[in-house]
Amino acid sequence: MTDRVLAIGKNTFREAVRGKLFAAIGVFGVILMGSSAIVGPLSLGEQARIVQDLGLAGMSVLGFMVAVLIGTGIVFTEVERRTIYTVIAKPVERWQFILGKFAGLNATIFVLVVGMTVILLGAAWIEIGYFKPQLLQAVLLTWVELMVLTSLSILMSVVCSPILGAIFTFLLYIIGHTSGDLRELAQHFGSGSAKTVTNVAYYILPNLEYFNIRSKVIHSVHVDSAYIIFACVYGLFYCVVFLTIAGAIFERKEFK
Amino acid sequence: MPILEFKDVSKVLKSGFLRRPVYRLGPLNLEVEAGEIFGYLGPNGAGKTTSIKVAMGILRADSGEVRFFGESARGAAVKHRVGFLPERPYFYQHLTAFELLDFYGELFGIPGRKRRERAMNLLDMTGLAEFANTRLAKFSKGMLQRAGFAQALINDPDVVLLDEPLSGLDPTGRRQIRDLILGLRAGGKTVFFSSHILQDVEMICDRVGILLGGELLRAATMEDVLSETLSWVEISVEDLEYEAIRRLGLGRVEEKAGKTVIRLGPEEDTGEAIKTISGLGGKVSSVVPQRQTLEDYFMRNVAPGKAEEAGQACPADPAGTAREPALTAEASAALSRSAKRKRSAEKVGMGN
Repeated sequence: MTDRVLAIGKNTFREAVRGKLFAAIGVFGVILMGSSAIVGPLSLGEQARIVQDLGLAGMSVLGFMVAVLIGTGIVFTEVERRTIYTVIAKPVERWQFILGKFAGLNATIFVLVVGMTVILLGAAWIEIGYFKPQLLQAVLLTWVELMVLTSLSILMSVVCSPILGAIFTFLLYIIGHTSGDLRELAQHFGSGSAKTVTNVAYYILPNLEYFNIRSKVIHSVHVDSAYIIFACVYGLFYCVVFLTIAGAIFERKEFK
Repeated sequence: MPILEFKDVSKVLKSGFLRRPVYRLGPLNLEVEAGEIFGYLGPNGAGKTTSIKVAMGILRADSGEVRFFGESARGAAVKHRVGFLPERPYFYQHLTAFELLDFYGELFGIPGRKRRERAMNLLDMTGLAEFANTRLAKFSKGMLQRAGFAQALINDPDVVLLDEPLSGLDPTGRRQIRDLILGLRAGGKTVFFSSHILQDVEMICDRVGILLGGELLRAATMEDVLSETLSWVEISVEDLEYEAIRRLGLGRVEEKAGKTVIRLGPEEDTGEAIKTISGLGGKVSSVVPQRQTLEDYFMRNVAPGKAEEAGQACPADPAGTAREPALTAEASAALSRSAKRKRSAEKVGMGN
């Protein structure tokens, strides 16, 4: 059973890394990380902060681009190109297909994150003169956030076209990063309905700010490992929710 | 026990915002026996691809059930024994032919070494061995069809469902696939395939099913179907003037390659005709009984609009009898439904 998920995952990974989009994003990532070494010295006394900030933010943005640009089309194109026919005709459960797609895209993003982390750690080493393990905490939570966004993109890919899926995922990304602030604003200045809406958004949608410990790490503020574990579990919970919904919808789908 | 069974299978395809029904299949009842090659025929929009998709779980039947080996086709387990080639196969363009087969082998849970061996054997069998490491993006339509055929066999299935396996192939490719299908039967496999290429169906099928307007018009052995079709006898005559033969009033008389040829209908007495010709001093150089083909049967019973053209293109019909309106009321009604559904099917982008 796991074999089938892995086979689909492997195929998805292969398709992603052989595609031009991934190559372009990968090259862009290397340039971005490299540029931090150039920009760093220009910011007087802030070189170390700039290198880390640019590196972590770049990782998050580029990972998000892969999750959205590949993820929102990942199931849709299988149906559109009819490659799904021969997979469905094999002894593969539909949830295995969804899980395999998730695994494959995650592996792709993982490779990107690992590559960029190596460059980031190297650049940070040069700037601050020692290895900073806290950076790995920020990288881990960035990766968990990207997992949540990947599962959300796959859900979108099951229910709508890639363009709509990308728009919705982007909106949910924005809301996910601002729902806490929006709720605070609504509590102070908003109407009753605004409070309800922001409360619903805050409690139902994933709060992506939980995964953002970048500024703490950059400023060497200690982040408790219990918090890291909580954030990981929180992220995995949303992955399970999004993938379960995607699987349930996909289970009922027919392919004309 | 039938290998494949459609039991009261119905399917309505809907389209548009209001989910209006645009196509109806069935209720379809059909059985395919072990070890036979079953040809599934019908005009565009008849429901061939739809019923195959229902069998493979790509579409779900609204009612009824498809069974493989007596078990419901819905379970994933039964698919271990089934191979499938979709119409106009689209495969992962980023994979090489070998990787494609390896991937599908993994989906069947075939162990690594066995999977790779089988993949290479199938590539060899389909004539793609030298392209094993070529990406499918570079394959021609015919090569993709052969790769599709290979993937349908990766699990060494007991029954293979092939949707239009011969379309898009050149004569050599068609011959190769025909031979492969015959080889499968020789190996004890069951083959169920839809096709528009009636000559191929006639050449290799044991039984045929004709689908029209979503309903099964006929399922019978090839022998039964062909024995019902009109036959005629072609007599070549020498040493007798064309006009003299024509005056005898024996069937249709024509000049062909310097010889006078008489075509007698099945109701006419061939022996009597030969005697008459000999009596006038003519020499009969050959007597060839002609049998109509599956295509003739199909054109007469399924596509009356095309039968006119077929009749004109087939001078072998002695008195135009083959062009008789042999369409039954049932076939006629089904054809009318079929035409409507074809138009609807085109709207929803269906195959077949």
